[in-house]
Amino acid sequence: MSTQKKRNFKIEAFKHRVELDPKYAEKTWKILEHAIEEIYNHNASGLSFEELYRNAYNMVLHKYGEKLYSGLVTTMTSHLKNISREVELAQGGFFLEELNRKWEDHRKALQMIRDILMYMDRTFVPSAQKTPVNDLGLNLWRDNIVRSPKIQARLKNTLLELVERERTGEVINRGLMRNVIQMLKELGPNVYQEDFEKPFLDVSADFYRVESQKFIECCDCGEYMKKAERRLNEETERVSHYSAEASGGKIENVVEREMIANHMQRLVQMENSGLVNMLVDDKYDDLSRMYNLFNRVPGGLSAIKDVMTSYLRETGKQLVTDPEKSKDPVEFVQRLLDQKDKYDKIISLAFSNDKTFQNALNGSFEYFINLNPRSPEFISLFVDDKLRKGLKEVSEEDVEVVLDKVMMLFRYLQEKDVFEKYYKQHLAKRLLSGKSASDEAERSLIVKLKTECGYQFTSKLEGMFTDMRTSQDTMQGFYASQSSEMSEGQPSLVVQVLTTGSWPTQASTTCNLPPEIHGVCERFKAYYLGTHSGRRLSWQTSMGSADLKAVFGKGQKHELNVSTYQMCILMLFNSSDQMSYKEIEQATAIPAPDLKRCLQSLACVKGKNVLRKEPMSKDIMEDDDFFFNDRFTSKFFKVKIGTVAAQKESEPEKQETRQRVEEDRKPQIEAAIVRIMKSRRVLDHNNIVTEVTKQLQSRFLPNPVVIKKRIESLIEREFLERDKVDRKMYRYLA
Amino acid sequence: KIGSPSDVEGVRQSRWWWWWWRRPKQEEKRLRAVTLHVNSAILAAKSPFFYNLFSNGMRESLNKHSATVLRVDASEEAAVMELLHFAYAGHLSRETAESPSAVLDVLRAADKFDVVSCIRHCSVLL
Repeated sequence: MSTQKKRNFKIEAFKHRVELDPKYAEKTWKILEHAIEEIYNHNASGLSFEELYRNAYNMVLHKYGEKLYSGLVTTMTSHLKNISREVELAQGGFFLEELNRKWEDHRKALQMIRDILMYMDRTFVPSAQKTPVNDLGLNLWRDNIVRSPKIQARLKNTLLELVERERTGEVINRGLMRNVIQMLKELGPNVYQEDFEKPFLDVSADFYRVESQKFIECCDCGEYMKKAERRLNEETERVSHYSAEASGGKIENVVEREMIANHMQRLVQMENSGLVNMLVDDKYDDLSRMYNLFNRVPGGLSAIKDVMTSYLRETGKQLVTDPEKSKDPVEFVQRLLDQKDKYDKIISLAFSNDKTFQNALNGSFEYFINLNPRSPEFISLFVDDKLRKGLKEVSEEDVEVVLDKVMMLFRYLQEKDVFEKYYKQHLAKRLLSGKSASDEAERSLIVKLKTECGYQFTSKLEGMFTDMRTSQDTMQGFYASQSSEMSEGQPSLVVQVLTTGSWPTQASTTCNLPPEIHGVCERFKAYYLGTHSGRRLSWQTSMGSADLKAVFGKGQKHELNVSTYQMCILMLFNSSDQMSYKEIEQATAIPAPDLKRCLQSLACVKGKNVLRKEPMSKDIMEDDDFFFNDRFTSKFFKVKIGTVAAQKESEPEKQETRQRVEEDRKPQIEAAIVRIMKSRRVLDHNNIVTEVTKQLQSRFLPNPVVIKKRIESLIEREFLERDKVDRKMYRYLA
Repeated sequence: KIGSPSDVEGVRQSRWWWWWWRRPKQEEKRLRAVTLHVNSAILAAKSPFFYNLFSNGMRESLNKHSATVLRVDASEEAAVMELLHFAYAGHLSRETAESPSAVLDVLRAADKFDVVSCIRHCSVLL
């Protein structure tokens, strides 16, 4: 309390302390006014800072702050008006320089004035709610110079003209430009934006609108992109040179909008040089440039992606549906792989591995691969070709690479079960004929399929390998047990015992085996059933092969590699030299289509015609006669007589496979329905269809109509029932 | 009038020298001058006034070899001396600190020369 009183008292005393000369204020102000004049006239070095500060301090102390402040405003304003006139008088190119010089002067002067009026700034200005001296000086400069009617427009036009001149390749005084823009920035964001940025952006938009129009008329797409990229870089560089970084993003937006966004579609679809041509010609640089530029504008990338996708689908569709091109399955798949490699490379080199582009690529492949219902078969044939022979020359890593690529195509397939079906057939052929080039590679692919589709998918394929291995053991055991009874000259037998179900089912029509063979077979059967009781063996004569030693007319010996059927036919000629078709058919009991095919390859293929046919013709007729061809010659000791079997499936075979696949799908769909219903108990039709589709899509795409049929069948068998009220609902019956 | 201070050349380079004038208001002739040797860097750090005095491009900062004059009223003298003491020492002398009116005078001087630390110090004392 006492302190409070004391303080009050002292302040009171202080007020009355100094007696003043009535003219004191006027006199003091004159000194300061003169000093301000001198400062503007570059004569500050003759002034005493201490004296001026003391005077200003005293004026404020003696309540003349208002007089001091308004005096400052008046003096500075009149001074700036003079400057304004001088700047206006500057001719042409000197205008900016004069303005800049005056600005430098004003800033220095303002600094000094602020220093001597520091006390006023600190005490009077806040309490009287005036603008601080520095801001006051900038505001006065803004109002009297930059925004004076005769200067404002001229300044704007001069700046824009300089920008324009620089854009057209002239060299301008960037330092001056930078200083003036710096000045505008110091005068506040509002001044900078209104007096420079906005007109600058408007003019730039006009400029680039015209320029882009000009470019797009005369340049091709790649050329245009280069120009646009250069312009963008130039503008970024320009704003940084002008110290107008704040406008960097905006000017880039302008250029992006005018040069790219407005011409996006036209650029992408430009004839002879647009995106499609770049893709065709693998123009990685151009593509990469396009990607980077389009990435800057909204919707840019999707414009590229859309065109790429539709082009991919278009060409892909042509590729897979062209009947010419699907003649050779291996080439067909190779073309797909090449296509994929090409686009993978483009995406990684030019599109910075953009995920959305990869998805678009995958989507396109998935779309068109499935357009051709034979794609699964062809892919399997491609694998067959690679695993059969092609890989003998290539290293293991290369095998892996090829297999990985095949797996990628496999992923696109919707009907994976169809692939499985064919793959099984082809694998069976490879294994049984011993044509598989590398066990390693076979297994590696199986592992890949397993990781992709799960254990279920490959269990049967693995079963096939197991059978092959056990058969080897069985054969060893058989010959060990028979060693005593085996005699020279007897045919040696190799049996592969195949588990039913693991292998592609074949109609088991057994033919009549020649007695020599039949005996050995019976012995094997006895041996096998003796060691494995409760099993049944049936001979798959359609799948075997045989090596025959034959002696021809001039005594030349050959070893003939033939199928089991062909062996049966040839063995007949041991006892007679001539046989009719009917006789052969009767003796062997080979099914007619197979028999015809065998005879065709024995009698009609040049260089391998161990039989002679009468009459000579390409096709086998039922009344043809066959003779042993004594005059057969070949430069090889071993002669392989292939079956005239199309590598690709024929139309009826295809139908049959398709039907089998459909048949196989039924239990899978039913199982899926039951699994779903078991957990959900009650579900409506549409949801069942979606869930089933989801569950099975890793193997195939079930047809909703088929699903409906399966549901009905399950209702019949009382797994499900329809809800009594809502007929669309199904209920699970446990 | 006062001549230039006598000191070694080397020290002059790093220091500012200034003279202390006292001029009783009514009698112009009776000026009293006190010469003090001060370190400009210390004062400039404490007060924007001194900072500008020594740097803003007017006479005082340009004539580095002649004395800088600071005119004060006789009634202010003691307070200004005390303020200078504070600038170096960071506290007031004991006699001053114990007299509220003396502290008030120092506060006024500190306000005039914008020595924020001293203003705060005096406010706390009061």
